[in-house]
Amino acid sequence: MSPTAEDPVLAVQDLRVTLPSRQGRLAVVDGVSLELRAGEILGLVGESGCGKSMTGAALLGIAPGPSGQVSSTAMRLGDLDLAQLDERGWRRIRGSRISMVFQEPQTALDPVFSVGNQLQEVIRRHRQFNRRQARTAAADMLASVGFADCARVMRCYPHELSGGIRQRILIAMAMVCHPQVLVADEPTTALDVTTQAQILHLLRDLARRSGTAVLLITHDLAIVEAICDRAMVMYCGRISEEGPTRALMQYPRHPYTAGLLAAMPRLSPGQVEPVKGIPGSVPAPGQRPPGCSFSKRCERADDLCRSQVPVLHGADPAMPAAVHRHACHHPLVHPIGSVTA
Amino acid sequence: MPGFEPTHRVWQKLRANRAGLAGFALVSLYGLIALSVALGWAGQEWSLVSGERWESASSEHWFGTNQLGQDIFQRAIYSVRIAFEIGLLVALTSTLLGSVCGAISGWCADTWADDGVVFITGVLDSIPFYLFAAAVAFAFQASAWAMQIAMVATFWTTTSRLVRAEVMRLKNRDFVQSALAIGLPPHLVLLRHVLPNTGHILLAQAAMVFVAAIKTEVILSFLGLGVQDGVSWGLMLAESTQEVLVSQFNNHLAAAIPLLLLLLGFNLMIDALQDALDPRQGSA
Repeated sequence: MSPTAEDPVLAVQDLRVTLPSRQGRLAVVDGVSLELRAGEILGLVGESGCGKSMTGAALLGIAPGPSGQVSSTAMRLGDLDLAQLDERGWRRIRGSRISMVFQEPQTALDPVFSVGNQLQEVIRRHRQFNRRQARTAAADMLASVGFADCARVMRCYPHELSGGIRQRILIAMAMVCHPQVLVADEPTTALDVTTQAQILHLLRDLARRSGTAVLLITHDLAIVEAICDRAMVMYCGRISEEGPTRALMQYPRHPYTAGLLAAMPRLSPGQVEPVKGIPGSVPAPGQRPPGCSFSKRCERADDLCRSQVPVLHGADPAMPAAVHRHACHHPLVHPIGSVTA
Repeated sequence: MPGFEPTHRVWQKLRANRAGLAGFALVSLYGLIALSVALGWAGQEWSLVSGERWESASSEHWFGTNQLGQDIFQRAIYSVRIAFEIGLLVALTSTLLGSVCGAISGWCADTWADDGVVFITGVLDSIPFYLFAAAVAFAFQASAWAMQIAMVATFWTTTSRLVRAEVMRLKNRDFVQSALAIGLPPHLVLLRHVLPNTGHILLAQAAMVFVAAIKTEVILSFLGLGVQDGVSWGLMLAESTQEVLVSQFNNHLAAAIPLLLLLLGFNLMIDALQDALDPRQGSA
């Protein structure tokens, strides 16, 4: 889907999530800005511990633990200013206008209640429906995520269902109030490959049909390539590169993105190149170097990288989000004319 | 895909367990006796002197009579009601107290609320149980509830610690996170999603407290710290310490055997319940 100039459904400026530590408060998410448009799927990619799940939870106003803090300079959902919401306000938004799908379908459903019961709980929480209306809405939602015998599924308890089916139900639960934004945190990681593909297609269909914007959090670039319109690469709590999926995958500007792509195993005829890893490992929060946090693992790094934090290039509010941006002092250069941004 | 409802599965598991079924039958029999005594259908003449001293078993006095000429059968039956009354009251109260304290403590782990609950349970648990129960029963002797207070005060701690541990385990599960992510406030998440998941622990623990309460009631009554305006197997056993010296065993047996059977039945039932109710067992 081509990016449009229409207003974003969700716009977040300078999102920060901090945790207390011995060295003071550590920013595990350090100034992330993002925009989501209706029906769009934005992939948020990064290694474990880079802050992508924290970013996702922060979009629902959920701080990591009692001592975590979420802040931002601006956070708007449509015409609603999320930054002004108190906890009660957030509870009205969660599950109805922004909802979430979790990684582990095995544990994300309450084992003691039936599927129908849990679906109806979401509906009755946010809509003034009576039991019958809630039942009907739940059945309709199950039908739209591809179940034929909805009445039967509603009577089932989670342990009676397989991982893929449970994930469908979780997606149904997240989508049942027709949210504007869906945060899907590694929704397919715990599933086998064929089921993964089904779930991903379901997510894409739902996004297109209902106009829900999806933030897909993943560590798997193949998933991004398969269904995301745009992608953001995250490293150490910051966005290192952002752009339309094709541009970003074909012409990565940030050395980290290039490294991730090189580390991606590909099956193509005649190609037997070994997969290349990125040297070193992700520094723990608190041990991040000054300047560019990737500088220690980057072969292009120089003194400038080690002293000055690179900003996301083209981070100009006037610029359309479809533009390919990167946060690197010495970006990779591709032959003129090949860059589609 | 689904084949049967889980309630069916619980029944299937229970039905397959013969010892458990026998336990159930035994406990229900006692339950019926307790109910009919409570409703006034039986055992009403427990204090009446209706015969001579130490009559042997007859159609009039099924288990004979005691030193005072009271009907032992009537007394043994009435004791079932006392035992159940105390067992139920103590089991319900300490389960309620234990689950509320344990849930709060587990949910708010590492806060002052948790520290407080853990401290209190630790202090109560560090006192030898029968000594503590006897001391409390003695201290509140004037009150009819002394024994019950003593038992609730000691029994709720185990439930509380079990629930606390389970809540701490459950609260990091994704379903708790997703309950928060659909906009439920934390107290409702705790009430609707976390506590129901501790149900199998609560039920089994309540049954165990029930048994422990009956045992403790008998012991305290035997010591003279328990039942005061009624009769209990403990009181019967206390009486019989004099009677066995002159080879009158009816009173002793009429208290000891029903107690033994009730405890046996309950233990079989609890084992079967634990196996059948654990949601982690038999999940695909």
